[in-house]
Amino acid sequence: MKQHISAVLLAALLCLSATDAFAGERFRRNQHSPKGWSVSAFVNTPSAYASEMFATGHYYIGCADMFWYNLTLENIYSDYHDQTRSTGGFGVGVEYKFNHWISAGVDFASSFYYHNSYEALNSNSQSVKVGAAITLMPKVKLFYMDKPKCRLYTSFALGLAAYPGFYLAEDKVTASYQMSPIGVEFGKKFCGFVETGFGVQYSGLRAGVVYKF
Amino acid sequence: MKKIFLILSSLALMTSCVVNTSTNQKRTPRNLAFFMGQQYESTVGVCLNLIASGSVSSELIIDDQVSVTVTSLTNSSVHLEGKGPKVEFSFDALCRPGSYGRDAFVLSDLSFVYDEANGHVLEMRFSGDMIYDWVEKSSATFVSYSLVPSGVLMGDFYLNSKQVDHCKLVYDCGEASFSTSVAQ
Repeated sequence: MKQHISAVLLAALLCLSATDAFAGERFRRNQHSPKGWSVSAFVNTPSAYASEMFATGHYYIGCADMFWYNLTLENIYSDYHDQTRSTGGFGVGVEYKFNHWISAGVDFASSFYYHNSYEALNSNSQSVKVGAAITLMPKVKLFYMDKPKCRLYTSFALGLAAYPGFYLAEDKVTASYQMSPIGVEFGKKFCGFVETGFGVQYSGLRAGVVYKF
Repeated sequence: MKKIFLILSSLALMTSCVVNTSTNQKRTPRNLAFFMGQQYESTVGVCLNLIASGSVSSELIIDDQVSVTVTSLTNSSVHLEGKGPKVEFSFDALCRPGSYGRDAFVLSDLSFVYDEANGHVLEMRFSGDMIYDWVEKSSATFVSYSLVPSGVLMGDFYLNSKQVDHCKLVYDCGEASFSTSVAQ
């Protein structure tokens, strides 16, 4: 047990040492104000998790298809859909930076998925089914580097997601997450950012603009 | 700087095209054949195994809901009629000497209707006789015998009394192969 606690404490210490938390010398060097509010707007690639959910109705990627256990003629001859497409997502966020190494905020984001629906018997096009993954996630951002014109960070968000238009999750609000191991922010007052990540909001890339005040 | 973010934003949108290639089309040859085989095995197959195991009475209940009436035709043949919420079937079974000194069975005159009461109906029949005989399966430690079918099972799928598909299930010593009206 002691070994586990030591390992966790060591990992936490290493993470903190990677941020500017203990870099007092650098704080004095940086003349820009570490504190303040900012708002952001962004676009992102779709989420692999949400697109799998929209296409298959499963909550988990790679979940076994339960269809075989409930095979009826009605579902054999039910309408089907083709490949799922997405327009990507967009959203807005607000954030407060407490000091050189940590900030907290909330992101409101949505991404859209759609596929064509066909009749089982003659493959005639029926309709286009559209679903949206809408998320509201408080997030914490830790800065590896905090320079006046450039910031390097990692972030983690945990919140809620609703899936209007999805098959099984249509009426449900579920817990959701988003991890961004690395992100970079350029500029002073009006700046841009790019980050990579995975989760319910996006998988891959997110880019946007930030206004600090 | 602005150009870089404009390019990156455009890139993000451009990569957002096809995100999942899977389709949930269920009217496939495999599903039709699987469904047919499943219905056949859970009714006729179960009845025959009960007969072969010697646990025959004039009335059988299979799958909790399907009641089967067994009528002797001759000393070596029986007529079975089953009825459940969705299925209704009948067939004749003739007992004759089979492999390994055990009884084999010849099934004929199958009439099988599966009705979901929503317009979807499956009808099945034999093309010729369906013969159940024993095969030996041996491993290093033991030998087991299984009663397996050989013959052709034909199925017609109906929607609102109109035939929409057909399927041919061929059993060869228990190994099934199929062909259907649905393209692969």
